[in-house]
Amino acid sequence: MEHLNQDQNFFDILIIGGGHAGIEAAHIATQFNLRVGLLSMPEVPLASTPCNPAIGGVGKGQVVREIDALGGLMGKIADASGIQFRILNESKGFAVQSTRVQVDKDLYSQCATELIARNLLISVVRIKVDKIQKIGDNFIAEGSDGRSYGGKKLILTTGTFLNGRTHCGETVETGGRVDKPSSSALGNLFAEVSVATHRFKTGTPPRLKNSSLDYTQFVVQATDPAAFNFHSLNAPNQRQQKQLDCFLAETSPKMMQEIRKNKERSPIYNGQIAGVGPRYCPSIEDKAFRYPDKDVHHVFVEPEGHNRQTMYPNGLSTSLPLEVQQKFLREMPGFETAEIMVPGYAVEYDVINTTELNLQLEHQNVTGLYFAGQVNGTSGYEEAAGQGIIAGINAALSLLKRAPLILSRNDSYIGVMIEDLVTDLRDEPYRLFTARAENRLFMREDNTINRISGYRKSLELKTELDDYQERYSKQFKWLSELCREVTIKANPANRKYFKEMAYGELTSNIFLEELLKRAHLNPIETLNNECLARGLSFDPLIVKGVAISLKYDGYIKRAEVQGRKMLKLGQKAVLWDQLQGNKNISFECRQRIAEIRPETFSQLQRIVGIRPATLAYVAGNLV
Amino acid sequence: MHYDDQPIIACSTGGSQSAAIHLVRLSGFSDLLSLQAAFSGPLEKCRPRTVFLSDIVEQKQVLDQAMLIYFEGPNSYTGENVLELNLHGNPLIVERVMELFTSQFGFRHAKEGEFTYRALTNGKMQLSQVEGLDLVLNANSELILNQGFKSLHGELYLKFTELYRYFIKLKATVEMQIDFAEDMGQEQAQILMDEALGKFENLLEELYLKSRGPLVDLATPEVVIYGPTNAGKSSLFNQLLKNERAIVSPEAGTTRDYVSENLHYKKNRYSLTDTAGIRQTSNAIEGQGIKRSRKLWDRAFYKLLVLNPFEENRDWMATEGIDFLVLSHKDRPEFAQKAAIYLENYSDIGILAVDLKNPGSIGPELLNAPIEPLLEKSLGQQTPELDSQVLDITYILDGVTSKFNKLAGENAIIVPRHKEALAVTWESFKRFQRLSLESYDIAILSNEINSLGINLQELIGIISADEVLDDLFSNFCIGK
Repeated sequence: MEHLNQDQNFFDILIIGGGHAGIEAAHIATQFNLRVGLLSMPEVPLASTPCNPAIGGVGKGQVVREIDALGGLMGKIADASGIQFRILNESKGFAVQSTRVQVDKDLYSQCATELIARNLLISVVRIKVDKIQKIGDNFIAEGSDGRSYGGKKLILTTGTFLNGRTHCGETVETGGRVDKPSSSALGNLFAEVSVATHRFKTGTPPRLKNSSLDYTQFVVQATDPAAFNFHSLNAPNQRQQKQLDCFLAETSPKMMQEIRKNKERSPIYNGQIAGVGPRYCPSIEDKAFRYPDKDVHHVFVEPEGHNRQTMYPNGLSTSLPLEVQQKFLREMPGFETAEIMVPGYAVEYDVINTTELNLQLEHQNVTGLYFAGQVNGTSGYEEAAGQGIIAGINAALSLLKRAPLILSRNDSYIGVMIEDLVTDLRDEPYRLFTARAENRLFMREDNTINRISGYRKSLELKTELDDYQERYSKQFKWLSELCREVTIKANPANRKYFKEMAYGELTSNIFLEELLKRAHLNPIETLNNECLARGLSFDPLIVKGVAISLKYDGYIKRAEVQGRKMLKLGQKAVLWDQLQGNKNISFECRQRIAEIRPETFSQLQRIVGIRPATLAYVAGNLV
Repeated sequence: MHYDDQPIIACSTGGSQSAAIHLVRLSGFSDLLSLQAAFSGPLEKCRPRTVFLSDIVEQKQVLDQAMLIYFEGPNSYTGENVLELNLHGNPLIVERVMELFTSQFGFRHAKEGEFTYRALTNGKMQLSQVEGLDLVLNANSELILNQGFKSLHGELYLKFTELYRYFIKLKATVEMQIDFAEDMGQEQAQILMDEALGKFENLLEELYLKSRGPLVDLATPEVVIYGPTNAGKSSLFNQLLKNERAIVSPEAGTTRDYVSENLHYKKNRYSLTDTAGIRQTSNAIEGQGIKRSRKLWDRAFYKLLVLNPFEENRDWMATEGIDFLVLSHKDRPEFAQKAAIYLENYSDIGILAVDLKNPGSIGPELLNAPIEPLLEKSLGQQTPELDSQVLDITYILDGVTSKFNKLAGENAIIVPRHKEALAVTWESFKRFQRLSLESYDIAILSNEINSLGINLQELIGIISADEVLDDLFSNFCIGK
């Protein structure tokens, strides 16, 4: 042990897994001036995007901006490699709008690799880990090359590698994209860390040769120059890569028949796969068998990068044998001559029991051991990165003996996700939906800095980002006050002006704020106009944020009042360790409490099987 | 659960059934004397833990004579000031007394188990006792519908469950449009939305109307006689009051420009109003008079229209919501031909023909054969025995009773908590509808749906992440 401590292979924080969670954890930990060892599989690029080539989306776009405001990498990398930007839900109201960026897969990994390589505090080791052990307070990972690597804290971000198996028709291979690692790799920790009883399953569609498709039969979806970049220090609309189109295609009845004919050859339907797939991301087999009356489904055809010849047919995830994939594909309009470059396949893997984690993502039985990403049963790059940065921050804070950072579910999607994960187990991969958030109207992309800057400030990192957030907050406050205080007089000149601008009637003096709230006006454009008219210039991010915040102000306040009563009790801290020994609580409830370890009353409430009397007792002692 | 300290009121004995007595419990008021306006007796003479007799009065009207027991906090069940009222066992009395305290003394209806909850928080109850209650009630944290709700009759239960399902569908439709916008075209989304909205609205409206109209009326059901001058309204009025089976209250009815009397029949009390008293002399006043009688008619619980078939009645026949039609002047020749047209037009309501040759003194008779089945249908009773050959006017009164029992029975929403929640839900839904017309912002709409959901949960007691504690106490009987 002693010799390892002196060794350059001993780090403050050891991270196993170089995916989206791993690199965020590594990067943020070094901001606290800690040395990080990042052990990553040989031949798998850092932050690879093995499934769909996109970052962001409804709810997920918010997560990317939250990561960015905390000081993470994802937004920066997505901006740098983005080949198409879109605003989703554009016609449906500002609060539900989200950004999604199609990325060039090679550029994405390349950019991540550069950012990590330039960071002198991170040592990337390309190695397959065979065994992990905890010796004293330290963690030791043994690589397949026989070398050992150590750390005071260990963050596991191993994705789908825990006991993974891939399925492509009748062909089954061990490995979560690669071969052999299994839960035995957890070594002597395996006894302490339990694995969820259900195995999870996820799949990916075949990759098609881009020149083999007939694009005249698809609907073109072009990039949106108005979409803002993710990283707050980038100029909002400046693109770093040449932009590409995506396309919308449709399945056909003949194609669906072809799939239905081959039910027996589908690993999902013939029993070969036992894992549970996500309902929100069904394979094409699922669509064929679950909705026998529907033959026309959307398929989005997305480029995977400037220098790749492959297109990603989003919506065609499948684990049918290659020849069946080939056959059904060619029944699709525009796909008549489609060539498969890489067949679609499904992955089955184990996930850990996340109810054994606390809100810092640390395992409750093994101090200093953190889990983040897909190994926690989530799906999606953004969800993984969001957990990675929280695990990285908290491992660092804990090492420095500082108070942990916990994001609330009332002001961030990351907070919603982590609380959901540690509160109960799910039987399908967890994905963020805006519907999971109680506070959707407030948790928008445009006010991310308002929501997150307090958390960021508490880290006391004092970088360029912190300066920017402080400037932003000051200007935001200033512009908001201006909108509340500036009066527009109902005089002839202003009436004429209102008519010219199609602002509507001006019958009495109004505040600028009231003008922005008029239902028929776009508040952002209007505020922009009014700023210009007064010779004021603001960061477009701030104009957008202020305009939308004012528009939703009343609704958010009303929702707050409604929610406050319920929140008050729910937020109270619960001392689970005292409760599990409390004889006033029934044995079964104490068992559940010991398993789930609720930290707030609302978590306790959400545990299945907790008896009313227990809640009454706990509430009675809290109030 | 509301964590406020507003005074609460509940009927501890259920209160929806007739019984010998009902016990109404009030808790959390600051001072007994602050309730003086509701009692005729001097409350300063009411000693804690002794029985005290007083009328309960609302603006000089006596609601009931009650026995009071006052428990001064902290020496009470909840640890707060508690007043127990032993009332006569009529649900309507309970209803009116509770309304008096909620509308004028700042009380609100207690949530299920709230008395117990207060006892617990005020340290008046030990956990073991709660645990015991829990076991007795076999509470289950996954219980979907609370006890008060389950005790309701089957049909209503199903309706509420259905409403919840429609709501889930509505909410899902909205969520789908946000989180899965790309998977669904705008057009398809609109179709789904319209369908979900339509189903939800229809059922909610049905329930809302059920909770609203009848109950207000059932507290003081008004039977109104309406019709043109000289059709025979006053004669019918007198007949109804004179009937030996109906007892006219000794106390005088409200007399303004119409005549109204209290009428007790088969254990229920009605107010019987004759709009004939409304004078129709000069044009200006006539307008006022018609307006006033219209108003009486509109809010009436039971509507009796009296027509003389020998007059031109086209305008009167357009009147809506008639419960019973009385045709006068049966004694005149050609009555049968004249009456035939009414039989056709009013095929679904009861018709009684009366002989009013000597107004006020001649007993009513049944119009001949074709009307019998109509009567049966409208009164919901057996075909009258024709042994006397002459049916008496009590059949009108039976019609009134039948309607009353139907409305006050299993179909009416009379649990106050449900009434309150339905009113709030309805309001919330109307706001949602208004918003959906003026805004396409689905974020705002979904916000509105969420608050609708919160109100709805109050109504049907569905467990939500935020209100699990409510559910806990909802497994305890109200007032205990």
